[in-house]
Amino acid sequence: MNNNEKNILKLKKAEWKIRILEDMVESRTRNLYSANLDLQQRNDALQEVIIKNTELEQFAYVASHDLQEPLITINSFIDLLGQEYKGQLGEQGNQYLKFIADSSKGLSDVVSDLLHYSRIGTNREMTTIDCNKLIASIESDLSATIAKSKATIDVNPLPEIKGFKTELRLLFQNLISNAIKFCAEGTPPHIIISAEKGNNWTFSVQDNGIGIAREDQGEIFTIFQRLHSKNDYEGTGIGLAQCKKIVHLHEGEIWINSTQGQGSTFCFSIPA
Amino acid sequence: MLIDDSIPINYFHKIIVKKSGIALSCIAVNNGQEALDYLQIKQDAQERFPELIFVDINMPVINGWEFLEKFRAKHKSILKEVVTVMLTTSINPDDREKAKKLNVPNYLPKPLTVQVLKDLYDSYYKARL
Repeated sequence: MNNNEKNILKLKKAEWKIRILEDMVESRTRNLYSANLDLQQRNDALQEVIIKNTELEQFAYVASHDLQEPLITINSFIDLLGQEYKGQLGEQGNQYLKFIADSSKGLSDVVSDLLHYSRIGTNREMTTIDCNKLIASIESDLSATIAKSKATIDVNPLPEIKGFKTELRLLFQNLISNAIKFCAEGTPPHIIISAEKGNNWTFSVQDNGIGIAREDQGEIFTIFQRLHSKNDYEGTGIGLAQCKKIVHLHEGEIWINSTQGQGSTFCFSIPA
Repeated sequence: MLIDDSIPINYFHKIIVKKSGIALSCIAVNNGQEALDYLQIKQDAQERFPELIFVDINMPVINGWEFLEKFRAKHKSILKEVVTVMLTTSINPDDREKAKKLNVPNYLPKPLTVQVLKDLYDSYYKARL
């Protein structure tokens, strides 16, 4: 090959390379374009979900807030009726009134719990919380209940964590209250609270109570789900749903280890 | 004076006030503007002002906070004689913060009870006798 032919070959190779590169660029541009479309669609869907979620939260808040006033009215006049017309209602009348009063109270409890549930996470101020002090404060608030049930609470050293103070307080308080409430007959509740460090802080609240059967463990964190009749254990069934919402608010997970009749350990993780 | 947009709640509270025996008279109105008009009339006529005012926070047109603002602005001279109590259907932590900031020491849940009224009386009015 002479010089000229060599140059022409070099040129042709360069042209091929350019064409290949152009094809690659075109293909990559097409890929980017469709990836971008995909991203936009996902973003639109996400925006919709965020809007719907905010609507639902507002709805729950407004509904429960506006339900409270009529309930206050009903409960107030039921009380008055009971007080002022006691002798005049007769046995049947008194029974009717009692049913109305109990029902109305039940409704008030549900609405109040719903209101508290919908408010979880609305205060967006994160602070550093000393969990030992938090538990001590809860024990103080629950002192009457603790004394009455003869409960003992062992608190192992707990860490300081970043979180939402009101919500974390409610979380621990619900778990401790439950441990006291669902104790085995004749056995004073014994509760052990501890924390373990891994990638996250894993807290556990262990009790010696009645435990929860495996087949029921899936539903207990659902709002207003109860495993027992109101005659056996009071409450609307919102405690664990609140706990779950609060743990998720802190980007953690909550789970249970339990065998029926042999106590329960509720565990939850909070990012360190 | 009772300020609440709910007629039955005012009715109920009037009964409770009567049962507590702390008041000589009790007037109930249904909105903040009515309340301000009434207070203005009393002031102009130099007649006896209500010394204890219960204001519902959540009212249409003028809410409890707006009433408080206007009341404090219009009747500065009488403020020392009057105790205002904000009433609410639920203890909302935001409202509680607001009460602190606006220097409203009395912030209570509905409904009023005879005990609450007696406690208020002991706190503010017993000493005046």
